[in-house]
Amino acid sequence: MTIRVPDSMRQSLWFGIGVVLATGCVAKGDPAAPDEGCVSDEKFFAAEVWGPTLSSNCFQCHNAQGAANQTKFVLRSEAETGFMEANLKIVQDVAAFEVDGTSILLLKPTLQIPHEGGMRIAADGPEYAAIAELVRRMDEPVACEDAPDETYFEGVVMADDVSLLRKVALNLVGRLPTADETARVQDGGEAALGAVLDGMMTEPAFYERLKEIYNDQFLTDRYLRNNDAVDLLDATDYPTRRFYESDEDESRRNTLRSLANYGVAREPLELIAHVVRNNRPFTEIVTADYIMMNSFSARTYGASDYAYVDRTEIDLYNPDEFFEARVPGVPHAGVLTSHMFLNRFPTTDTNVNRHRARMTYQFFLATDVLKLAERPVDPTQIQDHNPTLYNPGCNVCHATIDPVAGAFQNWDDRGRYRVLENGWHSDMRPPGFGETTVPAGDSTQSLRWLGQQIATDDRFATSAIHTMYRALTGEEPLSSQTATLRAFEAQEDLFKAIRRQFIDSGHDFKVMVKALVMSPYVRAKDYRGADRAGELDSVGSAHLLTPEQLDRKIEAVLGFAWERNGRRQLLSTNEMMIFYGGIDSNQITKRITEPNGVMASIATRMANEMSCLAVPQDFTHDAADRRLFPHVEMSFVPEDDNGFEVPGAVERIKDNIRHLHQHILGEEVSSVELERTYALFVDTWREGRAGVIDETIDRDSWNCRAERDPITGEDLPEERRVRRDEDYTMRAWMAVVTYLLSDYDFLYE
Amino acid sequence: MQRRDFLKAAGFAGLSLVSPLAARTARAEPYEGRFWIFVNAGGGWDPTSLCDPKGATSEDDPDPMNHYLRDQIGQAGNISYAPAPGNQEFFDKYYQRLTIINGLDTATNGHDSGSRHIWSGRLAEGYPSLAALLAGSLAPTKPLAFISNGGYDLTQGLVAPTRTGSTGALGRIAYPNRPDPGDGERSYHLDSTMERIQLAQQERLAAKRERMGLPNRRASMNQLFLATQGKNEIRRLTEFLPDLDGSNNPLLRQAQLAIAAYRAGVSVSANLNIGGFDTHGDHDNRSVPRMQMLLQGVDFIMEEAARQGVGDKVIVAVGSDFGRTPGYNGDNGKDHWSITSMMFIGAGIPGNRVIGSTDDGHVPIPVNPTTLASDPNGIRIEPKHVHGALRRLAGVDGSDAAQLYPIGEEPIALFG
Repeated sequence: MTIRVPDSMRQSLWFGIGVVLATGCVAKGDPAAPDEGCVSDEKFFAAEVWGPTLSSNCFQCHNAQGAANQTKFVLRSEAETGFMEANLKIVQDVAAFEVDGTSILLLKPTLQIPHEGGMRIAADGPEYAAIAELVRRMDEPVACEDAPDETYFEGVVMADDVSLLRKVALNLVGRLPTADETARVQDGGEAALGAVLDGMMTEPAFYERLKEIYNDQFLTDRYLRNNDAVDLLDATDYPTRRFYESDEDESRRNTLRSLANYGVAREPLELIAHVVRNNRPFTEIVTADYIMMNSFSARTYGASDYAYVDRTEIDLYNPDEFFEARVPGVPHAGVLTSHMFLNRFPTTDTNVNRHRARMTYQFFLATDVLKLAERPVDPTQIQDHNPTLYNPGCNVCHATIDPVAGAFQNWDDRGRYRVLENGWHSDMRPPGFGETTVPAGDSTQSLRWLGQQIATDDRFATSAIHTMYRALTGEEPLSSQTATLRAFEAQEDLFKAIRRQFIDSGHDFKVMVKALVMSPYVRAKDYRGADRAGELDSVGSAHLLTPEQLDRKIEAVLGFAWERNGRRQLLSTNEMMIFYGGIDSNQITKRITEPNGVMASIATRMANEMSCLAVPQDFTHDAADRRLFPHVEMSFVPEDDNGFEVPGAVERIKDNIRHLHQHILGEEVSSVELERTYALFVDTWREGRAGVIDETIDRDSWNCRAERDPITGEDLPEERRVRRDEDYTMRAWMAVVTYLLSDYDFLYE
Repeated sequence: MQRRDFLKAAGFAGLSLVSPLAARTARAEPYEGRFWIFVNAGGGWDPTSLCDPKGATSEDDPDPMNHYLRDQIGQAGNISYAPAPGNQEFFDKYYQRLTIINGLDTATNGHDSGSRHIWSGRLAEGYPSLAALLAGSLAPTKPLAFISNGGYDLTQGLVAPTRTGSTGALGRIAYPNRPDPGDGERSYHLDSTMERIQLAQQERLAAKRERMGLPNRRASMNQLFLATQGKNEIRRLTEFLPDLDGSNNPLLRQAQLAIAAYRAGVSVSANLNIGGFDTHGDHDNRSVPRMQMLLQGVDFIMEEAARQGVGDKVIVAVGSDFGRTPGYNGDNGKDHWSITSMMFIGAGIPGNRVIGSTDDGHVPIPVNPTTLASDPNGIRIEPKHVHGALRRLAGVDGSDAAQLYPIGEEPIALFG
């Protein structure tokens, strides 16, 4: 029997594929020959080997916790980001071992040589044939253009560029597109859309949205209240942390406390915004050798020349202006060394930074470590000494997280930088990342070292893509465990392409966002075709707006926010925010993404209150200056006293309904929907008008009138005031606006 | 049936488009079945400090399970309890109504997976919480069918979860057509106009859904349709809402709201949540006060339910992510341990009952699935057994939702 061990040539052939990936389908020795029917090794492996055989027939033993975990053939869990590529590589490595010229990948499962798992497949079956083909491909590797499966989106109807512009503008900057932006996109298509997005991504609103998106992960806004952030700083390390306490003026003291706490609490989120705003490589969020401060937190840290000093001129300092600064003696590494991050995800003497390591994987490496081992464990049977190191039931996760936990070695349970005097725990894996250990010379700055490692890992880019995908679609990225293989592969292909673009651009965050915006997952709006049995479940985002998004949309569309007693109704935890599914970053950290009866009722109330405000206010303006009613006056009634249509008026009313559908919902209204809305208007008007005539309904609109400017609070000139609704048209229009403001297309994007 | 199609069956197809007034009348029957309350002790509690006591062999025990002595363990009927503050009062008061399950194997040491296993009955991802499954099976269109105060609350689209925020806003939510919720004379629109608006919206949504070819958009339209069905019933809640507790025990306020919602006939189930049990350090000093709050919360639920006249309808399940390691670590804390307990009390729960046990090292002793006695050839009780028994008790084991998410356990008569 001849056993052949793979030689270096075989290895280099495999790794050489990467060079030609982007040039078309190729076979060995023919790197330039494209083939339309090309199936890459990776796709072949996923569809023909992993899906039908390995995942169901081999993985149960050949995994880190399985009976075969001591062999060379240990497959990665589907929960691991990039598992398919990793498993192909593992299979390739094992397949290179041969006995008498036949790969052991074929011999073992057919029991032609000893296999403790017994016979798993028949030598004359389709599974064997597929593996044989995979082995054959090792001699003639096949790579294809890294293009998504185009047929996957067959039948999916995509939004046009202008519709996409509105959707993205509302999502990313909380406003409607300007007329100029719309015109540019209408004329210039996708290229112009990209340019418009570039402009939007310079707006302050974009950075507020970005911070909101990342706070959903970091949850550091928990510390925005009171002294909560400042008090996390050590009084010895930062003797001026409560500098404001010495201020004798109570009001000023409270203001300074609030502004300093704001600066400290927002530090990690401001870093994200700063890096993107300045077009720095996004990897800087884990490598930055500085932290962000405003003038007030700078005084707290005692760290900057720009710190607030003059107590009489607080207004000269902008609390929202953050700048880079350093704390002497502290080796900053972006978010990883942030006091807020380290305290939000704390450790204990026995947890030894594993929680922090887990969150590091989750936020920056697109990996939920706990899912790597979601198989039953039985600690009552564990007899091993030091099981996290030696027991396979434990080390499947601990082998991954413990080195990273060790990299946090110099940061204590309160997030303070304290270099270990006696080194890291000798009974744990040494500080490091994957198989690499922190070099001895970097041990006092091991998080800086870790940040650099993360920055060069493809999964870092994937994590950013996943984050923005969630923000743009409201959907979780697909999991191979729950999605169909085809759906998963289609999305993975797209993510890989965007990841390549993102990395090649020097981790330019905006390049990545634009690529996602243009993707079918954001663009898709409908599907026309045969039932695809769950295959399209993640295509075409349709997420319920968060309270923050709905708040911005209301103001963008109507020009007024939904407020009461100075409180924005959807942003206050004392009002509607929690009821409407929002989070407080403290006790409530998960958003509700599907509406319930309470939320539906809140939407109705919002629509009623806002139509009551916006409709009469709009009629105080000249027609040309109106947002809602440019085509009608309050005197335009649809029928005369004899019940006959007033032709000109009816046309104008319908024109205005078209305008309202477009303005409020972004919809080119169909004739059916136009008539439905018109019927609502007319029926409401008829009933109300009859009541006005027989004096059962007041001509005054007591509840809904316009006498003051709702923004300035100033009285309107007498001639512009709207108090009476003689013809009941205003209240009929209110019904229409209520109808549209509580519509599916308004509450969802 | 595809899971996303479940909503189709429960939503548009099940509820024809009728005038909102008629629909409201038809659906106005309050939910009057059992009210299911699930109390989550977040972080992983220590059953040996509660209903599966172990204790130290002596004051010199070099590796004590607990910092109390074995001979201090209390007894109420058949239930043993740890001599921690508050335990004696609680168990003396309720032992005749309690079923305790000890030696419950969660098969995990992870918080997320433990919580998921305990409250969904399955370790792997993808199953709804039992609270959601019950609400989705029994009355999914009620506006607060499933109230969640945190913990594992995955619904898988069976029902929409509801969070409860500031009750000061409830009046305005309950009466969206009144500028002042307390003034029934004034409204934004005539009642007939509101009904006209709602009918037009339903027709538009139904037409839109009919045309829509993307499954996730269809599903989201179903969700909104279902949400609008019960919104007019919220006003009932305001009639039953008491002055809310302002103490630092979150369970009391959560319980008041939940029971008020049930009394209003608009709720089927509620997750109540209290954290602070992840005591890797200084275990006794940190765990005992939380356990006291937990028991105070359960006591409050039972008292409040009786005060509100629904004491015979409420059923309470109390559990946690997992248990805590036998003995103390170097930080005087306890780490994660996959073996835990659960407590049940209320409508349909037999009292003075302990099922399952653990040895001195808090390792489960197998149970005979028929006799429920210790049996070396028996099985370990797992969350799936508990969920199967609770589904049967609720009468939803044959429901569409239960079929979509089968437990597949060998049935054990845990509750008689």
